[in-house]
Amino acid sequence: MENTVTIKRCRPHPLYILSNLWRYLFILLIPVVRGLYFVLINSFSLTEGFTLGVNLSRWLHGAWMDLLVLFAFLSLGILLWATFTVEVSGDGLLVKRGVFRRELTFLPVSRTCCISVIQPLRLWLFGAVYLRVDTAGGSIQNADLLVMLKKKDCQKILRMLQAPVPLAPLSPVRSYKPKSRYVFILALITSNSFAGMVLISTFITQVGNILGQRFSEMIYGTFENVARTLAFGIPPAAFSLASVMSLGYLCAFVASLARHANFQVMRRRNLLEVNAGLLTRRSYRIEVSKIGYLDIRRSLLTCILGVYSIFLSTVGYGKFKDDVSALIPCVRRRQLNYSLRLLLPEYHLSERTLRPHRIRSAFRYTSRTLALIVAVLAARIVLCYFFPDWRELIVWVAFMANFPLIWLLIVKLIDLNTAGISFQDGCYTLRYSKGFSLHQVIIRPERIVRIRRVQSFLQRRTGRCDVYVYSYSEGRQTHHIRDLKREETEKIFCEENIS
Amino acid sequence: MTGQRLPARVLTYWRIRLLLFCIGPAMVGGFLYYTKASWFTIWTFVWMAVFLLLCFVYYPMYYHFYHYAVSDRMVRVSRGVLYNQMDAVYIRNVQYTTLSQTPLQKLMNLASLRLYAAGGVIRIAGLNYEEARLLRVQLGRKMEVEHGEHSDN
Repeated sequence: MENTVTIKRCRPHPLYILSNLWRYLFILLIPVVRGLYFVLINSFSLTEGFTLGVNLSRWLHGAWMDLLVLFAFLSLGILLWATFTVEVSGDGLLVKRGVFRRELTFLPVSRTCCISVIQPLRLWLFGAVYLRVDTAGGSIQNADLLVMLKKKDCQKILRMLQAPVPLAPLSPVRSYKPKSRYVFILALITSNSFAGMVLISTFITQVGNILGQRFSEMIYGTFENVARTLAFGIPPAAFSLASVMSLGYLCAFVASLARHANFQVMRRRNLLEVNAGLLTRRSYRIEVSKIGYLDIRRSLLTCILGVYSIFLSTVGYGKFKDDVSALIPCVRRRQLNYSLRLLLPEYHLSERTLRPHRIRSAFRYTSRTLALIVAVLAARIVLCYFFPDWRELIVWVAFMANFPLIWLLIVKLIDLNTAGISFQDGCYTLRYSKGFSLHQVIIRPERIVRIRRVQSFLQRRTGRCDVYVYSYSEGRQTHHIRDLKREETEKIFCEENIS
Repeated sequence: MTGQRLPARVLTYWRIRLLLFCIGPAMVGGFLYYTKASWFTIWTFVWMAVFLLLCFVYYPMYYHFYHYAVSDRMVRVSRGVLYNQMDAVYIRNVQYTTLSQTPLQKLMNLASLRLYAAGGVIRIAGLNYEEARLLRVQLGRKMEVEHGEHSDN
């Protein structure tokens, strides 16, 4: 606030001038540098001697407009940098920015949920970092404050925001560092083929834009020829699809591994600090009281391996697609409670008290997946009848489509046997499945913003209902637990527990 | 909670802003004058009519219906000509505030205040600059008090 004393005032890192305008500068800089290069090499003449001055004046005569625009862009960048200040006071951050439209933003420290420091390799070379501050307000897509600072300034700001004057003595730090194989398993289970495919196609298109369209055409052409040559006994299209997905998965896996390398979590007083990253170093500081919920996530693969991954849901953590969102990458069952007690003793798992009926609820849990399997089989028969020439491809695609559906059916059957709700010592544990993953959510009552019970006409006869729990976050986050006894859900979400 | 009006000069600000927005249609009109003269008449008539309607009917009515109120626990803004709408936010839910000034607002000593709450934004546009600045500081204090009360509970 303006009436409080400013402890520290700083400007963004000078690299901010270029980072703001690099797209436009890049277009203008190439012809300017090229022009200067030709001026220089054409200045050495055997007949007329060294003619740099003459050539330079001729070049300036022709390129003055380009230079003027370049100068204007640079001036704007410098102005944007000069008018951007971050002031730290005891209450929070005061950010002033804008050349034409002046903006003054005050972010109170009491409302800050997550403070992140991100250092990509390109910024590390210049000693710069990104400081990101998030509160429960503002946009879901963007951070409330994102500023490129000098590393030294950023560290000072962090110290001031987290240890206000007078300095309180630091309590002992509890630290957790997972084994490398656990980080490997986390990368294995969180990698997504689609994300990898997007990464590859963007890379090829971008390289094509720089090196010419023929380059990207050459890559795609080579891939097509390889697919035709190597597809033994299966349609080339199916082989291509499988190859692209595998390659995409591999790329996403490598990216995820680099993101989660050097993973470490520390608990100090009411603060949780998560550090991770190989090329881009990321550091997140989360106030424990601002945590939304803990999500112990499992897939069919991790169920077989007998391991669990714990994710943290809080405003600002895991917000962007390249962010880290795990708290404990991978842990065995017997170490699960120990790890939780070490880092977050406020959160604990409890045994199920409310559960669906194993036989009566089976239809509610599996009906949609079974309907999809039947629909795929029916579509296969119909398509084979109408397009007999395409039989080979149709049978293959139907098989490929049924494979994930059977996988999903197994997940739903596990969910039927594990889903439920429990409440113990001020913590709810919600067990449910979403898509292919099984969730065990530990949430404190004050972080529940809404509870919705839905009862269909079929459920009315059995006195059961679906429960939707809405948790506190920037966007809408729901937890859907199916087919539970209505009376018992009313008891478990009674006012005594919630308040 | 009694509603407060915006300063009267905000009406002039809105009108000048509208006039600046009219540069675009006027330039299109100029282009049409040399290419399709018949279209120029229709185009000019349409944008001039819209301009006059906004300038002398809509904006005075909008100003008349625009009210804001700040109590100990809540900020409320009611506005609208065709549809009346009221936005209210509890101060305890306000996360951070932004005070902004465009060059024209600076010239007329006006400012806009945005309150970012968990779940939405409330904007009070065209406040007196000094008043906006004081309001922001007061809201900051109230936010801290509310936060203190909330964490004590």
